[in-house]
Amino acid sequence: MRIQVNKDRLLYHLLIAQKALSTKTPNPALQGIRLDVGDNELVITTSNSDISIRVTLEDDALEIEKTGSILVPGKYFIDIVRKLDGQVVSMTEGEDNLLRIEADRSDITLNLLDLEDYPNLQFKETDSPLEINARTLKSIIRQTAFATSSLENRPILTGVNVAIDGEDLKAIATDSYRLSQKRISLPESYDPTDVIIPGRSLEELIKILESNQESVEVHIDQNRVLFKDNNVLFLSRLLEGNYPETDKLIPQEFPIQIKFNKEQLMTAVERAGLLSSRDGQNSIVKLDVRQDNVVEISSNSPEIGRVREEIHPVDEIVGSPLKIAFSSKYLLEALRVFNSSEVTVKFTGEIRPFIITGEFDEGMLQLILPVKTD
Amino acid sequence: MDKDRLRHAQPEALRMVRNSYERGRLSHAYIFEGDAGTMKLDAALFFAALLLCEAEEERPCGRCSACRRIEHQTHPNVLHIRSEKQQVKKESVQRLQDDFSKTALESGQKIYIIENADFMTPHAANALLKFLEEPHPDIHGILLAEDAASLLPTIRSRAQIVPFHPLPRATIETTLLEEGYEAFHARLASELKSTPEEARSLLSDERIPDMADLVETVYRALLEDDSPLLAFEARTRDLGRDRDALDTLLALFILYQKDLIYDKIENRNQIVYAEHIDTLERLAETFTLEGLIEVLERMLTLQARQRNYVNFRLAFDNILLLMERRYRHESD
Repeated sequence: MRIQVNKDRLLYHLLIAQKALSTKTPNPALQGIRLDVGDNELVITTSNSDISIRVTLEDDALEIEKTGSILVPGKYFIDIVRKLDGQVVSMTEGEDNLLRIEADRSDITLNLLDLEDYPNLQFKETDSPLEINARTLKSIIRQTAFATSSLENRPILTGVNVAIDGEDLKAIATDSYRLSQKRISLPESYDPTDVIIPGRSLEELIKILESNQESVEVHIDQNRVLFKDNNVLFLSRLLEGNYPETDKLIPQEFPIQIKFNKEQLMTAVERAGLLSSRDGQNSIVKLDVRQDNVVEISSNSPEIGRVREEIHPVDEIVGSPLKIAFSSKYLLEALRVFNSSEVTVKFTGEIRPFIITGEFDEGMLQLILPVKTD
Repeated sequence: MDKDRLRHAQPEALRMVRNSYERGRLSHAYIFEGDAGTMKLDAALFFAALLLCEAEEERPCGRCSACRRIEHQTHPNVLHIRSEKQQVKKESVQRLQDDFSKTALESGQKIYIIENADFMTPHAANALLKFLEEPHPDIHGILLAEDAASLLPTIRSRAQIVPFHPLPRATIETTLLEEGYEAFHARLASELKSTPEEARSLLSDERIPDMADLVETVYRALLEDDSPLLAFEARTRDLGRDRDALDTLLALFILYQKDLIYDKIENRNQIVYAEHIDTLERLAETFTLEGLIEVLERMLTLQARQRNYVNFRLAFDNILLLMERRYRHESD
């Protein structure tokens, strides 16, 4: 292999690929970046086994003298390229599994890893990928992935369940205490598919997706999901198993409905959460719908003190008075993903889950389980 | 993976594994039980290669990408849990669960290998058990253990135990010879120890050549009308009560005594102290077979009692006196 490439272009692509570079792995081959030089392209591949990224660099920034494939030690290679002076980097594969990197007045020789040890990654595209614009895809992920479980004892809940049926796409995440669901209508009809994508994979994906109207291809098969954004391929393994039936969890009738200004509700809950004996944000706050059409948010921790907030809902409250307690963290996290400035909180009963919807967040609902108090 | 050496050392274990593979009756979990150095890990990698090899015939071929990556331990479908500080922790087992909850990076079966499974912490063992309770058709586990009895009974009952026998003596001898040890020492160590590791560690004791020489001197004293007892006492003063050293020394005496018997019954290719064949022949000529066996029996009894803190020197002096008596009686 022997190429010359624009340093900035190379670094830009390497930094995308770096998102899947493994730093802690028992498999030393995954600490490498695979470089494949074809007739008119440089393909950069990384993998931490959960996710894999393949970036293709194919433009006039690249001059190919000899094709070939190598596995470079990832961290060192990126650090070197980042620090190089000059516009052009020249890389030559030498004898004895060495890579010579020359740029400006630098001359660096790097020991290569054994390419034979690299996994056989299946960046296979399917015949009928789903097409979705990047901005929509990002917002679906942002609005659901946060609600996945971070505990490994039920691995299936660490993923986002994506179900496609015809023109309907439904994404669901839950850690069994709260649930986030987003539904969108697709411009076309697709065959039914139901997969569980690890939440962590999706959080890495949104870091490399541009927020634009360009469409991303989503190739789903039994064992993997592949996102194709122009010259970037992002591959993730799937979670195996059956996702719990969540439809039954979501109440259908809501005798009590209150419309809030989102910011007001958030700041009130944040303040109420301040005086908590529990660690961090995970404090319990109470919501009290009073007879006089005022909502009271309160918290009480005997050792520290008490908070009481009053909020005037945007609209007349529908339904009867109610008292309910919940984790402030769950409510705040749910509110944060709304685009609407006004949200409607819908209650069924004091010990039944409640949901939040927003006028400008079509197809999204956030569900939170209440906490029992005395 | 040294396939030939493995095939030679553990033919039965390999046959068991291969049979269950060929009949399509793979167990979800195996316990490879045997001493250190009985090539359990090599056999586990062989098993993984058997399942993942890309060749149609003569699997595992050892040449395809899958076989080579298994050998280098870089295959993503083969998860290898090593023990840390003599323990296998719960986090390690959870890493397995985490990985197996996802679809495979590469198609094919998945194999996990847990080294020193008998050192799993109770938490780790319970996590593994939960995992074994819901077997997946494409996942196979291999637990390497020296003592399967120390695993949870509930784990044992869900796994098939494959016994690994100590290596044949000749295999250890060949290994040591290949590593450049002297023929006599390789032979000696292979007689006394059951694994190459133990044999190597025995030979790393610098006193071994001296001890072997001492044994020969003591026996030769009989021919030269000297007292074996005095020869023994004169040379072993500095060993004092070093139990390990005295153990080894006794083992060397037993080998020599057996050699005399082999010479007497003309089974000479079994002889260890082949360098001293002249002395051996002259001694064996004089002793009666009964006399030789009697002394050997006394030595073996002493060896068995060593653990009970007998007075070694006193007991061994008695044996040497018996030996001398037997010899003089016949030569007169």
